[in-house]
Amino acid sequence: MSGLLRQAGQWLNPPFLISLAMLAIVWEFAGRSADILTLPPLSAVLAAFVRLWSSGVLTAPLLDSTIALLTGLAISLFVGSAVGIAIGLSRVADVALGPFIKAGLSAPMIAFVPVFMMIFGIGSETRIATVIAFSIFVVATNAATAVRSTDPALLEMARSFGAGRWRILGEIRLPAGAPYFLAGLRLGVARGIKGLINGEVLIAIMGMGGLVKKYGTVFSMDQLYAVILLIVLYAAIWVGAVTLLGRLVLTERRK
Amino acid sequence: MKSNAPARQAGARGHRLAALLTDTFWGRLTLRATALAIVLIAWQMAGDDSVALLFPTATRTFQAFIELMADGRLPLGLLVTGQALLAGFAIIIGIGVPLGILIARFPLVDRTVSPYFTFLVAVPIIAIVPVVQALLGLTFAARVTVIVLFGISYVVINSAIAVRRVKPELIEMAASFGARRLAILTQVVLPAAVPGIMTGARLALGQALIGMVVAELTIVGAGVGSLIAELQGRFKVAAVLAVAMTIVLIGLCLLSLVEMLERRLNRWSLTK
Repeated sequence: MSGLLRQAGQWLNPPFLISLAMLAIVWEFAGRSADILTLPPLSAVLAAFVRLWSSGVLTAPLLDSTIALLTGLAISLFVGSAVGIAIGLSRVADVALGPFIKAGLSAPMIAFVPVFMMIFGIGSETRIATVIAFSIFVVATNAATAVRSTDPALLEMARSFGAGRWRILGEIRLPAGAPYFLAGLRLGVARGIKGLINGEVLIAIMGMGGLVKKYGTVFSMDQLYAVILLIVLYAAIWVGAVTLLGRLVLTERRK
Repeated sequence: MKSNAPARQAGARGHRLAALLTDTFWGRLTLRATALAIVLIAWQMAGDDSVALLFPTATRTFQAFIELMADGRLPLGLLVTGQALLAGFAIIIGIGVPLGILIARFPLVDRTVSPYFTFLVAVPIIAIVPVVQALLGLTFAARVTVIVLFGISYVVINSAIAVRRVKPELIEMAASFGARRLAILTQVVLPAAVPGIMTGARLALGQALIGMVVAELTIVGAGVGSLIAELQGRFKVAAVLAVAMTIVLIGLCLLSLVEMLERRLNRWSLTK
């Protein structure tokens, strides 16, 4: 709980709130006085957000994006965990596959999006492939760490009681590695959302990223800012929810 | 019990082979080369060259790469794109590190500024790209700005953490010997914080590379972005894949370079 409070404290402290308020005021006045096309006043943006939200224009893309995100994440979690567990259990798998995982973790996978677009077409598969490319390696890395992190004394004890490989994996290694699996889930979700929006903006016709492209191209700035606001909130809610889930699971286990 | 013996012997032999493959240099090399060969063969078999729009084989992709290199379009594009990356990364380090130090030293700056960078880490920056484009147009400055937005928060946050973690005893000792604030900063705090700052720089480079590709693909300029767009328009999948793989491999080389530097500086920081 204290962690949560501390996290909230970073955002709800007076100097930050004052700077945020000043920024908002400057934005509002700059947008009103200087009649710049690219900077609509803050109030216009918020109005556009409310208007778009209540008119239901945002609902379909939001749902559409979420389904693609969940599909991609499910594949990432399933395949990534399997590969990660194999790497964590077997030195041979580690030496053979480790370099690929490490490369995938840090390489700019977004460079493959144009290739995905050409092979899968301008459809949902491209987005899902992008989500997977962004998230699978971090899931695998954390799964490998999770399986490796087991206390050797526990393993020794289980072996001396005659437990087989699979029972040790299922009843000792996986539960003991839960914090790392959860970290992998959190990072995977955070990266997956970035992949989703990246893919959508580049595909340009689907989901929330498609709206960014649509309003950006016609210079409908208040609506563009409103959609950006939506995406920011969407990402924040997802990451917050997964972080909270992780904390709950861990405290539940400690009891 | 006796019937078990051959199986156990085979198991022991398997273990020895595994140890040979994982614990010696040549064994690891063989294993990795085999893995790479399997990937390449699988790619070759998964590819289909009968229609240009299908997933290309490894050989067709390599051919496309050679062609793009030979007619000079890929090197030229990479050169132009690399300039934006270089400028962006220089700005990331030049602004990010001092800002991180300020955040670590002055709580007021920390409270005012830090949340914005935490925010930048969490948000898909690509969503802000149209705004950058509207403000700066299809210019070099716009592409550099996108790269900076992608990477800078990692340097700021990591530098702040690194400076904050410097042992207070070190600073106190230096102060008790009469060192001035600036001298303490440059001779005590910075050397001790270098490893953390470098970690930030490596993470930022990874993000800056993503930003570079995003900028190239959305704010099309003269670099690899226009090359990809053109090849895409002519449905040359193999060529697009070749460009993508070149970007990824160059990115990986740059990242390992920074990682090597990071390790070097780690040792240097320990001896200081």
